[in-house]
Amino acid sequence: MFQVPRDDDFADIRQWLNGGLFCDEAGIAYKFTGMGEDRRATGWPVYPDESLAVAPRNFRQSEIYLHWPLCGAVNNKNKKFALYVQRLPRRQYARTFCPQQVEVLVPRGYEVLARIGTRRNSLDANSNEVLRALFYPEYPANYEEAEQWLEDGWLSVALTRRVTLVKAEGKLLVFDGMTHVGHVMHRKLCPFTSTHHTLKVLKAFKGALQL
Amino acid sequence: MRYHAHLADICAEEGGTTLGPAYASRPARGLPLAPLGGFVFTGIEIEVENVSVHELAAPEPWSVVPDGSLRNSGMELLSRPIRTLQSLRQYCNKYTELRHTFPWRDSIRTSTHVHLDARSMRLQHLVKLLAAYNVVEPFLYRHCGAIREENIYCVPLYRADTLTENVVSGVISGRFDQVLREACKYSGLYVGPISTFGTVEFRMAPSFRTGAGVMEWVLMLHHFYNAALAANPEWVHSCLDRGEYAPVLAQLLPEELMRHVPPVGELADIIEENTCDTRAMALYDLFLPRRERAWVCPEMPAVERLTLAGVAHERLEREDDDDDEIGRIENEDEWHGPEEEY
Repeated sequence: MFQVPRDDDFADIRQWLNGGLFCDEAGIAYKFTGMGEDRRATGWPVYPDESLAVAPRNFRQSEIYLHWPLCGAVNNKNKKFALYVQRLPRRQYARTFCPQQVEVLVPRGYEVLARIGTRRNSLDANSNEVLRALFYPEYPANYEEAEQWLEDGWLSVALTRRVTLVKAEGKLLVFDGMTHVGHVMHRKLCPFTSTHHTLKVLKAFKGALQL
Repeated sequence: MRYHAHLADICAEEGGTTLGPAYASRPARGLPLAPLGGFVFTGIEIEVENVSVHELAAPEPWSVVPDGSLRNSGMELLSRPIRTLQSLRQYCNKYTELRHTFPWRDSIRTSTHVHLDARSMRLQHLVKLLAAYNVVEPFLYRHCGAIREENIYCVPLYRADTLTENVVSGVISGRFDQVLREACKYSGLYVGPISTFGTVEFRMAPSFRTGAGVMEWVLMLHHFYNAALAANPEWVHSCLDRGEYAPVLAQLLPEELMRHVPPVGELADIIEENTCDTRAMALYDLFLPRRERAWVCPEMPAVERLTLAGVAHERLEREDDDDDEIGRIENEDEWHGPEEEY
């Protein structure tokens, strides 16, 4: 996160924020909606907590911060499944996070999305639930907590930015990014590959798994 | 050893396509193809603001061009292809001198781009360079500063990468020209200039305030470039697969950059969370013989392979008077399903 340079004029800033999101000093994300006559940028907040009231806020130039969050596997708390948000490397004119520059994928999507009755196309990167998952990512602290989430109705849970557990076929499928790398059955991990990282992550979620 | 037909260029010790003659459309005139190793020809672009082209009367050996993407009369200092360390030193000394003379400024908009000659490279060298770059990229960015990591004009591959996947598929399909066309300019490492000047461009550095900073950065890149080409792919692959990152970095990075490398536990977190290991292994994997590329975890229980011959045998037992085509298989023992071709 870094501040907008002070020597940039407001025409530039309008162009740079256009279609994107910016942050305040505390790291709260705002959807840019335009510039007011008082030469302030207006933003609609995307708070970490859905229940907070949302009202637009105006920002002076010195209060605007640019930020591109880390993408990867994140948890959609609203609909209780994991997303894989992939940043697309192509030219962009907004200098900050831009929803057009990411692709929202779902590990084992055809099954997860069918179960919650959501279409693939409806996973808009500009929707509050996706933005909330991306800007304020939350992960279970340990394997028991991940299991608890799954018992609470989650269809899939992201353990880290890379590893996701998906409930399917009576077992838990393990995804590294969008790649299916193994499964967990009766708390026993059966990896398909020797990928060091996946094994390490799952070992780190200790107390539960045998290898 | 069985390789994919298109991977011959990757795996052969000698011969193969040289990138310069094959792809570079506008290489620098009169610049001979130099052997790899040692000091490779280098080009430097440094963007600065708050000074106009007309103010810089005699920037030799640099040349200057205005740059509309910058603010406050921004411009770009360009070097000619630098052939020796002595010449690099001259450029850097002049940069320091100009910097003291003119009140130009650096900002988040300005950067230093370094082009390294890739004309003498063969495809295998480029794949090695990209693979090694994937491993060391977070530490190059640490040297350049946190702001550069979020800059949209030099996005690290660990934040947005299609290059690795494109290179793997480009090598396997034999369509490497397409990889060059589709490379994203605004990446930390841009391979697109291979198709014009015959260079690879490192874009992540900020505009340095002194010539010494420029010199240090260029020499670091030289060290990395040569170390990446000299690295043994099988050794690096096996280290990455076992999660032993420190020896790999010690080989690839110069001492000045090793200060950015944290202790072992934290190092593993950085590399693995950023998928550096996976992406690098995908590229190093191209160098491995086919039999080692089938990763099977030793802990996995052996699965009995279902063969068509076995199925046929079972069906024949069940249906004595069967006359279908499975029953016509004559030599069941010799045939175990379709042969895999690579």
